[in-house]
Amino acid sequence: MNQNDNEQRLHSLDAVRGFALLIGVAFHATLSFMPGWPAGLWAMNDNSPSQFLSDAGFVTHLWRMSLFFFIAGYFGRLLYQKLGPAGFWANRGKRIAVPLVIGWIVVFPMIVAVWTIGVTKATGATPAPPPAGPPGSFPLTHLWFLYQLLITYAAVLGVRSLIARVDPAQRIRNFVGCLMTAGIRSGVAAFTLGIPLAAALFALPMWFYWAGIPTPDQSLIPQVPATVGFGTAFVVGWLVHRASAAALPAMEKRWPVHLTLAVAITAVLMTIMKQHPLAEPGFTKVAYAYLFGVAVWSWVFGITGAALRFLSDYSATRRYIADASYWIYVMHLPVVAAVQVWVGRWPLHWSVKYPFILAVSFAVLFASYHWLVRPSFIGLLLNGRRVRRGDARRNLAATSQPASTQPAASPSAAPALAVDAACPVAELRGVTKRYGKNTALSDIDVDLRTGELLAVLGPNGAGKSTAIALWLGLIEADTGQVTLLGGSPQDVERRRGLGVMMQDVELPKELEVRELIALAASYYEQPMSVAEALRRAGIEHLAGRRYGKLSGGQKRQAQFAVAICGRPRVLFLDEPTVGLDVQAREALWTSVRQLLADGCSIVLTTHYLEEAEALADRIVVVTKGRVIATGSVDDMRSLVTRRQISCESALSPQDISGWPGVVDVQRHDDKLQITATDAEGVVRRLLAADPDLRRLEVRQAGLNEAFNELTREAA
Amino acid sequence: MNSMALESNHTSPATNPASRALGAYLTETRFEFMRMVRNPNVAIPVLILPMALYALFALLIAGEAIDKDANLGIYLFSAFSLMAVTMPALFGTGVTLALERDMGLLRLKRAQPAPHGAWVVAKILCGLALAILAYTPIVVLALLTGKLQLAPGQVVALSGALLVGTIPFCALGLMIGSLVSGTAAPGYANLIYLPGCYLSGMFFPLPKSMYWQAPIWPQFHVEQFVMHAAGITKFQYEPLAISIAVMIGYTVLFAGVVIYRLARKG
Repeated sequence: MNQNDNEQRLHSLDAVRGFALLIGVAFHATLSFMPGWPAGLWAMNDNSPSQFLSDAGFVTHLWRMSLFFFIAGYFGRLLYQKLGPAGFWANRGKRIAVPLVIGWIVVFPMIVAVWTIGVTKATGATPAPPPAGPPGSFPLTHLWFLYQLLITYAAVLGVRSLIARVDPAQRIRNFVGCLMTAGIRSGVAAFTLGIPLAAALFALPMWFYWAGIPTPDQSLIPQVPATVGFGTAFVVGWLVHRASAAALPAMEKRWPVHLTLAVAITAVLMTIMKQHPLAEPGFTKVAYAYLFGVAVWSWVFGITGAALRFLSDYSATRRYIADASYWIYVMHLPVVAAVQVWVGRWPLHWSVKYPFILAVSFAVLFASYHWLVRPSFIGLLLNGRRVRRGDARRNLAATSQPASTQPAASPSAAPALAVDAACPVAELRGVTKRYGKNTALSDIDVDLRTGELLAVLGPNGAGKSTAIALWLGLIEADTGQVTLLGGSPQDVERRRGLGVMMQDVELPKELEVRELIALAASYYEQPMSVAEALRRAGIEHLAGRRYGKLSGGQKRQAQFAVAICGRPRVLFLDEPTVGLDVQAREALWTSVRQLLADGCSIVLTTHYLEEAEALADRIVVVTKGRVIATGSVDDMRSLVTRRQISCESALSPQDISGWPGVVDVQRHDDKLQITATDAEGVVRRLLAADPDLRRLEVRQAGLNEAFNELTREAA
Repeated sequence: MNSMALESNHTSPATNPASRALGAYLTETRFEFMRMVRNPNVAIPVLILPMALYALFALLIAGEAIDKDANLGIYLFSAFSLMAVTMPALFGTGVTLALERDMGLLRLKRAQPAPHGAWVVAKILCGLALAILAYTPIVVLALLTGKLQLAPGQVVALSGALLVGTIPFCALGLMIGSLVSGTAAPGYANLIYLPGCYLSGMFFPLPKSMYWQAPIWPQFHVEQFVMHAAGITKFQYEPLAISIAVMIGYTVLFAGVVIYRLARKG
């Protein structure tokens, strides 16, 4: 399996993990609508109960946590392989144990408060305090899954070290991996993996079929059915990672079979459950328990397989949701329950209230993720900081990268936005960006140093604008690292240091130029005065003109003034001189040079090569999403060995074109134009062949020729 | 050297961030107003249409009927004043947002360190201002012609509630503007807005068989909110708490879509 396949699979499995968590939110949102539930069992008994939601809740609850533990097992082994035992535990401590403890401290009082209000509202009486439970009782709440995960890690790693001792050559383990693949491929796995869980469920003295695997949220002592069921799921996930090269494609191929099986068996389970909600010893219980295990694994393989089949492409939206899902699941219960309590007595149908509960809860949870978590230390804790695309593995479940590759801490913790002159002020490192199947940038490395002007050249569609959009924080890279002023361009603090002039942007036509500048200046800490920005852009005379009345070139000048008015430390100029007359272009160049002298660093994209020649300290040539050359203007020219020879001679172009070192010969009247790789050799031979040769001239290729040649070679 | 010079230029104690952000909000709002004032063509239809319709129905067509039944006057007044305040909120904010997206302006704002929400606040305030402009002539006309028989306190409460009721429509307008292009935005806004005006029972009383669907439309809940505020029990069909809750719910939902959408696409 190549690296690319591997990454694509990780995208889909990450999506499955997020899905398993988010479906849990939807599941808990159904619980106030359960017909026949006594008051107090959940925070609210809605006045519009729903059999449909009860059935939907049963179906999702059947597999959601098994699916989560299955994916957790897969990523668990991946992380263990990457970090080793010590790194693994340090990481899991940060990502799982700390959120468990802090999350519980935050969430538990909220849950108690919501429950008290809800039960009081539903019954009219304050709920009695819960009776003291058996030893080991502890209200883990919905965070039990983190506790169970930690226990599972400990158990699996313990067993693993034992097996490693008796099986140093990995024969047994490889055999088990092969067995797993064969099981999935043949369909046997779905029918057998659930047997341990079925046995544990069958042994339960009191088993409500609807509840599936009893939730171990009341005790610190591991409960048998959950430990067996979720433990199996974790181990299978672990083994699938071991055999992933064959096991994942097998799952991907059989997803329709698994999902069909899952639906069919779930229908049978529901039929049985509706006749006997509480299990009674006997054949029915045995059959139900076994079919339950088959259903769990059919769903797990079916959903994972479908995700591998359909969700392997990178999608920024899915990635965002997957990243958000951990925070959302940890925090959702009090939010969902509070909305349930709120709407519980409204005289509306459940089909209105249930979507409303979901909409409000997800709005609150996503908003809190977006503003509170993603840019802050909480995001760092839960997801290993804001999505760094560098290594897809890093973005998994709750995995992270080793400290050395940890991206910069949150901007508030960074001292100031100081940039060392030797350090790049903006950087793309190993960046890849795809749009669907098109790769706009492929593993690109570009840096902008303090006080320099970097010209980015390339034909249309080369990826120049994508590179700039990454630096501006408008899009996120699929893989690799994007830095601006020492941090992520997504931080507003970093963006306060940038100015930008984009292509294809129209400013509000009703506003005057000086108003446009004043508006942009209000975003910055220490902007220039409007007068200074006008002067620097050379458009004092346009100050009172409305933008809509300006010519194309004047609009570009106004945009330039808007770009520089915040005294940017990094300035992005995307085709700044399109439509300018010669005089205006010269004025803009002068202004650019002044900014450089002030220490501003500039990225310039342009089609006018003489512009790059006139201004650039360095040039990078991009074609088809790759950097094909980088260096100073002189470096670029010298990259191209060709030179232009011109002379007046009677020699025929046909004769000369056969000489070694000659690339091209053209005659204009009596003048010969020769392009040669070995100019000296060609000149010697010319002089020897034609003693009357006159007006000999040899010229180094300009940037234009260099650029054309480079991009032609790359094509 | 350069970096040190820059450092001293740019990170020395500046104005405090809160006042700078406030300044940015004020500047954005001020210029948004100026744009509106300088380009009145956008605003005129939404200002004139509701008043013309009110004059047609309340004065010419149903004038005598209102004199016999004051409730009919209240009903028609609330319908057309609701239309007057919600149309600019919806069309004014939604269509201009869609046009600005087409212009690439929002992409630029995302790249600039513009404070989140400054332009949203500016747009909503402009929507409110337009709503007041559209509403004032209707209320003046209704009071002068005696077609609105309410105590002064009730008129004030009703007017205030109408303005609050524009907020979900501002959010709806922004949602449409954030989802579709400038040329498509008016069409989609009408597609969502017009059926709601009829099916919510705003313009004419609904038959009983259609009651079930009225709560789908934001117009219904805003109308209910207005009726509660003015204390007109005759037209109250749902509790005040529910109308408030649904208005908040719709606003949160629409605003959520806007925020989500604009964080990704300028």
